[in-house]
Amino acid sequence: MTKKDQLGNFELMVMLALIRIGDNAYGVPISEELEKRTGRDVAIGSVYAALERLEDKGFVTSELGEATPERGGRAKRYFDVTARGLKEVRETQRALVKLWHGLPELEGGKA
Amino acid sequence: MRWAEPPSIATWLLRHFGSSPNNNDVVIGDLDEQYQRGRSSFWYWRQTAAAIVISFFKEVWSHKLLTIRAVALGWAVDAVSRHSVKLTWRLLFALTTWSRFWLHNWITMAMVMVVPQVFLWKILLGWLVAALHRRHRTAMVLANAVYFACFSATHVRVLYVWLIIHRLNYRMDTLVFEMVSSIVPVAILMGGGIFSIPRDGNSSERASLKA
Repeated sequence: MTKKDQLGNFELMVMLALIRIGDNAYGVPISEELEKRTGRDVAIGSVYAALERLEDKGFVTSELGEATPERGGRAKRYFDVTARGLKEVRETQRALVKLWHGLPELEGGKA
Repeated sequence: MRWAEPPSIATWLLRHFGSSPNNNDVVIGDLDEQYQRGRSSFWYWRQTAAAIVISFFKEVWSHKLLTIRAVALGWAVDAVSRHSVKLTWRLLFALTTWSRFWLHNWITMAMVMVVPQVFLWKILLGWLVAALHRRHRTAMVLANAVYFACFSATHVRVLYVWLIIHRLNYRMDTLVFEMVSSIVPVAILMGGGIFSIPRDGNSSERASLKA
């Protein structure tokens, strides 16, 4: 696997938010989910930059949705995780768990 | 629900300077939606600034070769324009030796002959870059504007240092030079259609939805 096909830190967070939201995943719920879970302010621009990269890698697909009045008549773009994306998340999780395992500094919340 | 108008200048900036070819309108929609839910104007402005900067760097980073090609094209047009401006400058000095009228009015003549010429060349530069990079037009035109803005600013500073080293006074021609430098990015953006291209395809539909 090339470096280009791997998930970056923020990309992984976006993928996890997408999986958690399921259907109806577009910019607003994704950024809200990220803010809620990480406790950090998230720039919508960076969420879309990550989503575009993920789409280029084939981990995510997207389609334009309906326009609503509260969006000033602008369409939403819905995102969905592909089977390849899901596999990549699992592999990243496996690798991270292996790296995590057996590190006394990071166990029991002492670090 | 009553529609609260988001900061219009911020929306305008994002609509015209947002570099994401697919998601620019979607990002504005997301920001509008969050604004309707009670986010502040400060938040909207911050998100807008971040979206413009992030989308620009994302486009440049994802298309490095294309960006180098676009800036190289800008360089080529700039080299030709410099030659043309140099010829005009020489003609101007020839006129000052030919007539006393030109001698006293050479700054006016410089304004009339050189500044519009530089402006037109940069408009052509912006137009060429936009025409040859249709899919990534905003990012490539912006890359040229940023590059030439930095280049001109450096050039002006070098000129100031040169004046200080040679103990020369601040002259009118440096003012002309500074003026020309400041219009360069604006002309590139104008030529690239950043200010004028209607990128709001379904504005009438949106107006009815807002109502």
